[in-house]
Amino acid sequence: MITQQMEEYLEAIGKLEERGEAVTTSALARECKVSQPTVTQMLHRLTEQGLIRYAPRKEVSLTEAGRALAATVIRRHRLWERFLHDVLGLRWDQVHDQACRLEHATSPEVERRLAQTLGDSDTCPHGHAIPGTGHLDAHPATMPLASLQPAQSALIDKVEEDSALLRRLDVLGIRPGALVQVEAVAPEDGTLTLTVDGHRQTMDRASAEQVATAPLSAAEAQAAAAMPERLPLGDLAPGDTATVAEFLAGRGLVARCLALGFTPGAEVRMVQNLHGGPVIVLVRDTRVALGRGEAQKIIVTRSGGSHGQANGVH
Amino acid sequence: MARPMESTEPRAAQVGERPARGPIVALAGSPNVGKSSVFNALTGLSQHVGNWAGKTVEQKTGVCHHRGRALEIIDLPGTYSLTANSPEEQIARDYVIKERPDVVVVVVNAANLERTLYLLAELLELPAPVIVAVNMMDVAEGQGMHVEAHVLQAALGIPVVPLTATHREGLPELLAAIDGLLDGHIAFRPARPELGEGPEALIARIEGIIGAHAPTPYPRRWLALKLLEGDKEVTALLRARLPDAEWQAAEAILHDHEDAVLAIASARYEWIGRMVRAAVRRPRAGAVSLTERLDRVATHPYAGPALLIGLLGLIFWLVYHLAQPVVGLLEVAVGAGAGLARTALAGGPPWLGGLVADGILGGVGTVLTLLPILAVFFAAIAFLEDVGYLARGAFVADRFMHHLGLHGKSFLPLFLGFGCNVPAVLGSRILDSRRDRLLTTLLVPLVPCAGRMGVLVFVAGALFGSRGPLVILALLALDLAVIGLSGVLFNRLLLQGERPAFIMELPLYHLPNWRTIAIHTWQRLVQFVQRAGTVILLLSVAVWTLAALPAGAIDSSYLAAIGRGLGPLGALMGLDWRMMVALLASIVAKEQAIATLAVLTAGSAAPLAARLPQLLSPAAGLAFLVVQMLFVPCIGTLTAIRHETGSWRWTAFSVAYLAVLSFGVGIVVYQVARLFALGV
Repeated sequence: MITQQMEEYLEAIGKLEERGEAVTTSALARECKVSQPTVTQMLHRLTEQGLIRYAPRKEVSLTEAGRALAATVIRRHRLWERFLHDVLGLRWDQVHDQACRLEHATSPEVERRLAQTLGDSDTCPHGHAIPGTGHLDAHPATMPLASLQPAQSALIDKVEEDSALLRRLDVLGIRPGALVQVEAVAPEDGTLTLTVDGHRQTMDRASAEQVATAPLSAAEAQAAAAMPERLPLGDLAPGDTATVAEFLAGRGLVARCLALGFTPGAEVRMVQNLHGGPVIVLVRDTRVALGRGEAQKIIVTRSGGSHGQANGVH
Repeated sequence: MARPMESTEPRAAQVGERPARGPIVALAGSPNVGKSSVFNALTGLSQHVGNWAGKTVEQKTGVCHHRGRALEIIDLPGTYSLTANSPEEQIARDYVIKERPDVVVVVVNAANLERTLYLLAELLELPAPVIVAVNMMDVAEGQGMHVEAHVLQAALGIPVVPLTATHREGLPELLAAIDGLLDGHIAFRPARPELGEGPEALIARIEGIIGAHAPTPYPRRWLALKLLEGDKEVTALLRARLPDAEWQAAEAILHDHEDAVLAIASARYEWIGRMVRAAVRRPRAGAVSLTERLDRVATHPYAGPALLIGLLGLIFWLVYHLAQPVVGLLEVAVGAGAGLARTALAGGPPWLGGLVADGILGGVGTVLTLLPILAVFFAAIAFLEDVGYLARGAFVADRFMHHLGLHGKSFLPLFLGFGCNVPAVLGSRILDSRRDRLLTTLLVPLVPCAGRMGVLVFVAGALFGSRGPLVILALLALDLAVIGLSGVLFNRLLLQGERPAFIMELPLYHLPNWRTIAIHTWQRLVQFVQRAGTVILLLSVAVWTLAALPAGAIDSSYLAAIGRGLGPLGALMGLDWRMMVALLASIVAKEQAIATLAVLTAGSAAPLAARLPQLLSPAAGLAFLVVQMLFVPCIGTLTAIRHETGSWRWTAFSVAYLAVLSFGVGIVVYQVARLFALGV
């Protein structure tokens, strides 16, 4: 009998392995926020079930069965995060806790439907690979944002799932796929000055340590700046322009969007986008107010080079 | 690019079936194109407002006398498209398809041509002669845009008339174009939207499958098109009409081309873009429009809510300074009338004088004294809607309203409820979906109106003295919680799964059109008197009868008997039968609770405020305040609820819900307060 608690431990071991950290009782105690004796007790139970290999004062490793189970739990967790964020429109700092609860109550059928609904998403909203989608090998070499040199460009790969951090990053426009360039590093406290998708921002060193990036060569950076980027309409910053790509919505909402001028290929400009509430966009000379949830269901493509010049007013 | 329209059935036969009526001209258009200005300019005051058969959607008709001919003008509901997503869209397209108006005038917005022409692209698929009226030319010029109507006319192949309906500019030309189509002077060779190779091929295939099974009077191509667009009504219709083999063939095509709806809409806009490009001169880039500047304040996260509250405060100020003096005069006049009636009927039986003076004139008085208040509220809402502000208010309010499952626009009627619940219920009409209207209508009675607050302040003051204001504040906090919980409850239990999307146009601001506002206000008042007036009168007579029969004194009346019957219920709240009668009497008008208590407790020389503490312990007093705050609303509000929901069942539900809720909360408050030794 595999309990919910056991699933949590397997998930924690899987995540530590994924990060390349040593799987020790102290690391697990930190990850699961419990005491070391509690961890030891649980590790014995997991060993009895044949899910891990464990001897006192040695590193823990997953057995074949344990690895499969850990991957399933992590997969469900990240699918749920995607769903909560993309489809239900929850903020990215809200999805982790919800997903923690949902992951244990997910049948294989629900998991399959979730994956189907989400289409080709292969990471969670924070950039961590969803097991089983083959994403794992995509970015083998990542580097903390804090370790980048001035003038170096990189794509944001993933960020740590701490809700205070996530809220800070949201304000800065830092999310997986965003293009950053380090402008300067303050010599006193290491504060970074960055360009994030064309907008200049500053960021403290501690936060930057928790953001993993995939560094780009000069040529790659230039290509990335020109590449169109897909994102929900609600993620556009005020002044950004983009074109409508597709809808993640039912017939009724799609019909209303179409009649108001949101057709694939139509140009939209974000006029007002405050944290949480509804947004205002300009489409076909019309100002349209959309609820946050609705704005997350319209996927747009933004051409990388268009930032900062999008202030033409109709 | 244009393809000539297939010939439709001869129209003369259709017209011949309607003898003794003038030609019918239907006005179609999206919201915010100034359609009602065009309607008002054409019909003046010869308008009739009713409802579309079987729907709670307003129908406006009018007559336009022109060159010895009486044109019948039908104002179709404002819709962005003709897909059956809402009752409005259903009505508009059913009318064009089934009633076959002689001319359809599509009103579009010159400042927003591309998007408002979308409806034209849909209408041109239907067999109706269409004229395009490019309205709000003045607003477009103000934006630095210039529309050349003759270029558009050449491209579309149908008459295009530039118009500024608010100044009646272009009206003769519009009437000339209508005449031209009716008399056949103007050739009607419309360019019909080309939908591109992919969709056109699919339409042809489905048309082939539908074959001879197309139900009349629907055009076959239109059925095929709507089926591809996933239209629910057409899908159900064809599923019922087509033989199984044909339906399965059609379904297979639909299954493989679920995205056709996107391609069709894109193709329509592309077609419109081609039509419009040559006809519109755009403003120079970089100019900041008036709308943009105003929105920096109106939709600002802090300034926006402040402005909204400020404007609503201003409306209350106007009610107080403009409407209240007139209400005072009317009350004096009604009082004098009642006095005269009493004197004139003094020779007859005593009940007759009472019936006429208190029952009938009392009812008339209720209706009359509501009118000035309603006039100010209606005019204020019409003003805010006309200048384009209403949508901004909804946007600002949506940030918190959506937590209750409510649309941002619900904020306005709910807030107006603090003044008077009647215009608040009637004001729910600004909401676009029936679900939102219903939810708002059910919540409005929980907002304490001025009359209710009057009673609460009086009773709280009499019982709690200097701590009265604190009690009132606590009551209001409780009330807000009850409104929030009721909103969530109605959403979960009654209206589950129906939450519509929040997606709403923010129209360009423009100067108010006083004529439109005045006509709108006038119509709403007339409608209120016609429909609600008689009901209020009848209910008022009924309540008077209960209070007067059998002996003519209230403390021995049927109403008192009902109050005594409710004694056991009252006992749970520490209220005796007189307090229950006062609650029942407040159904006539909220202020009536005080007057009734004064009558029922007469006999002591002390004023009512001094007598109340002897009647009510603090715990019972709190219970009375809570019940009074949440109880069934007045007759005027009930009539308005019946009027707006179009259903006695929802009205009865509202009454039952509020009765159970108020007594339930009252009992809890009394019992809890007794635990804290307030019962003595």
